[in-house]
Amino acid sequence: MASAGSGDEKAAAAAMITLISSDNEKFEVTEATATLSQTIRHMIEDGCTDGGVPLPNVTSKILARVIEYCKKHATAAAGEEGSSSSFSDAAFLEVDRAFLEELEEFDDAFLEVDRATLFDLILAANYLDIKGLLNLTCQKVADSVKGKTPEQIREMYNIVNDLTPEEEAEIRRETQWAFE
Amino acid sequence: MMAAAASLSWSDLPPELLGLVLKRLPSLADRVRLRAVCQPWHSNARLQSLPPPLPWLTLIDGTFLSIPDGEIIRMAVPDDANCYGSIDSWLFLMQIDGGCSLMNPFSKATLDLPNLAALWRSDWCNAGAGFNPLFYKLVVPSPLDSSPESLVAVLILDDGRFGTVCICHPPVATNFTLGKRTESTLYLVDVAFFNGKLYGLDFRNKLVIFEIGYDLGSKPKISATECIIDSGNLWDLPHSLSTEDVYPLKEYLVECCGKLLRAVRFIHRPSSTSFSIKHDRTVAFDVIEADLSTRSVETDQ
Repeated sequence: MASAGSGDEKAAAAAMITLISSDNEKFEVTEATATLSQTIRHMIEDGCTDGGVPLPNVTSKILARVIEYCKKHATAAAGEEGSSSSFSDAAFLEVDRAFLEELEEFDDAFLEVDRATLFDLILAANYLDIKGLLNLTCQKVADSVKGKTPEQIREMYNIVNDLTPEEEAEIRRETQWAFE
Repeated sequence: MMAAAASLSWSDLPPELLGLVLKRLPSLADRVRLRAVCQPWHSNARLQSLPPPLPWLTLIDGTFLSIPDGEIIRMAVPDDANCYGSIDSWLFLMQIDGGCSLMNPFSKATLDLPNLAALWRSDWCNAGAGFNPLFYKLVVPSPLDSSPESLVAVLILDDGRFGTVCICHPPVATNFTLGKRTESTLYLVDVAFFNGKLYGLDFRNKLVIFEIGYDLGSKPKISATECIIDSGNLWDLPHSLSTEDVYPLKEYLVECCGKLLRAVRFIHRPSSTSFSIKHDRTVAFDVIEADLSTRSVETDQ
């Protein structure tokens, strides 16, 4: 798979890691990108990444998206480290701010996915232990249900109401105020 | 639709991930509705330990304003009762006939209190004064949910601007201690429990401590009142405010993070509306910590 553009080629001169999706597709990524995942970081530390890292829980479609996220945020992390030495320099702060804004825009665009993909991204972020991505995706779900009724949430997330009429009545009786 | 059968559904979201979503919902109503979506979410949500939701504000019309979403919540209270305040999750209700109680609208538990207005009137100091109780503030030394046997202290402000403190041990009726009956008159504006002791704030920058004892009938009563900090009538106006203007003040005594604080709220009231609180805007807060060891105060604006 194509690695990132020219910007982080310098870092890419270091070790490359091969990630293998559940449908057997291989992805070459830099170590900086891969280690945003704590799960993979531990594998690298334990020296068990030779011959690639099989990720049986993640499909190629989702893994491609996860890598896209990690590449962007690995560059951001590298940028932060680079600028911290000249923190007093206003020009650098300006660059940082622009970069953070760009990162936020990236995250917003990144979350423009259907509900099924969002679900798979959450599971992948959890399995791969990528804190930033897990925060981002869970926040997206939380934001989407704010102020919504259970029925609206079911519709939005394609969930079948499997509560018995008795259970539903019980919930309503206990928390009537939340349904008015 | 087509993928639904093949892959996992949202109802299969692992409990800990459902917990991460719930943690990001500061509104109690949102959490309750999320739990009512399906069977797995209903049972899994119970397993999660969550940060407390943001508090509600009690509005003048008896409804509640949820923060930060601005949703208006209506809580069912008995038809003949009105909500006059709250302690934690407990509403202070007063019936038309003056009967007082505390009710937890979530668990539906209730705790009977004495008829506070009648008690207040029966006291000789208030009986002939021609004033009426106007405002009730209730405080407890520890959460009522975990210690239902707790004492309840009530500050009653009347329309003569006097503050009276009453100690109840529900449902035992109580003894009243009047600010104006102590050797130097107290003008109480707020009370708070701090480390199990009851403190009162006098609007002339005095902090008093009330000793609570029991009489022979084991009724709780205030056995002594002592002024422990008197910082005089000095006022520092917050820097952000103009010395040209006059600001009505509201004072509060609050326990926060193991500290006893006096918070002063500065209000801006347009001069054209001097008798209406509708246009009031809070413009500054002044927070002062009571140092109970040296009996002095530290300011933080």
